[in-house]
Amino acid sequence: MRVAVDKDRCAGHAQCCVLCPSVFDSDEFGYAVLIGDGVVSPEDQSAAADAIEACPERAISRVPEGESDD
Amino acid sequence: MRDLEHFDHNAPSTRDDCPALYAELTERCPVFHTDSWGGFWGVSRHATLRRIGRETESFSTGPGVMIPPMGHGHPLVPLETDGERHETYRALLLPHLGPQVVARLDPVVRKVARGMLDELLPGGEADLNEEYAKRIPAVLITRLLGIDYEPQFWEWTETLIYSRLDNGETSSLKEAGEGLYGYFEELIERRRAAGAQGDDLVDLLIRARDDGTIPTEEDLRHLCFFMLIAGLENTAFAIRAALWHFAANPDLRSRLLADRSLIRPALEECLRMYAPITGLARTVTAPVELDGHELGSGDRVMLLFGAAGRDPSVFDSPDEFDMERRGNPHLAFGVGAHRCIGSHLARLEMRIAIEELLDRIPDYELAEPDTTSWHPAGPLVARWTPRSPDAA
Repeated sequence: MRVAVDKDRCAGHAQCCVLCPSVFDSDEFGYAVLIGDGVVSPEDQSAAADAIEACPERAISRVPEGESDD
Repeated sequence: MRDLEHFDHNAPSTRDDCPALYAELTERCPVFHTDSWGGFWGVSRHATLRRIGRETESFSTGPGVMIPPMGHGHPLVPLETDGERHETYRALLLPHLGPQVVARLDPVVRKVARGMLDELLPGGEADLNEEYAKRIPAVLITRLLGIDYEPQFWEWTETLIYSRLDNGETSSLKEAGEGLYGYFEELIERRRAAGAQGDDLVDLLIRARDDGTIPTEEDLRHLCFFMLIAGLENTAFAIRAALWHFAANPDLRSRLLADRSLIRPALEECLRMYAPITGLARTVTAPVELDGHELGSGDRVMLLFGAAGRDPSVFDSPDEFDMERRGNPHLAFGVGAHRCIGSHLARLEMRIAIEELLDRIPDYELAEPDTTSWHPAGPLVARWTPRSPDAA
């Protein structure tokens, strides 16, 4: 599983960081930063799915494996 | 569809009417016009609020976000700013209110909460609204600003927030605005004379003014004023609503007592269902289409955050309190470019306020459950078995 953050949409709610801290960190302004390029280990998949759902801006999406994000 | 022509988000009946009202709005009348308060459009769909929150050029906060306006004669900065000025002020403040910075305040907030609870424990009864829900945000925001807490801050801010609804009660409102601005003018002068080298928000803002990042003295004062007023009422409301909800729902409270990790998602549900701010407005800057309705330049649009939190296309069984919701993307902290910069601080204060109270007073009961409401109008008197504070 892999996720991407649309930086134009991210408003810094940081709920992704709360729910899946192994995949989502925040920069000094509170905007989402992907750890490890957004690759999600099997044990984190449920939390990452919660993070996608939690984003009030709908800024996080699943990226098909093998595609690069921008 | 109930009559929305005269919809007034400030009316007590509106508050009492939801959830039924909100569910109808998002499904059947997601964009409607009301003639209240000079006329405005109400929008309720989660997706529509997301769009408006992003499209700041089409939907501006500049002309004012409150309906009716606060009426004190000054803009709310940076909320009511656009473009570069807005970005500059957010970039200035965000690093000091970001998730990691706020997380480091955990022991401070905990110590404050415990101190308050130690005072309350032996009495066996207290108004938890006045003595706890309101006090925690007041201590924290004044500490961040580096100022001493004055009881008058609450009087002034409550006057500003509530007496604008009283159509004509303007003299106390004017006094409140002048009181707060006078306070900050005097404070800024004093701090400047002392060099403004502290690590609190007021000194930070003074330094940013003096290096030109903040272009005017007025904006410096507006920013100080806004930080104080924004950090008080809304968080107190949220803590109070949660205290009420957990007292009114003993099974839920038992689950929280058995598993503290449920407190965070329970508080997100409280934010979703009680939405401290019903809505804030934007002004349309050029003709725009919203869900099939044509809006003209100058039209006022209210983002109904509470309604969006009950949008059935986003939230299953939206009128049910469900801490197991996956994610919970409510809009209690707003949406888009003007997302509340205090959201991390508010969440920390809420969580610690509830954690510490449940630890010390797990048995608190409402003294008058039939007449005590989740809404901040009125006290929240609770009773418990008196006990001594824990030894340190």
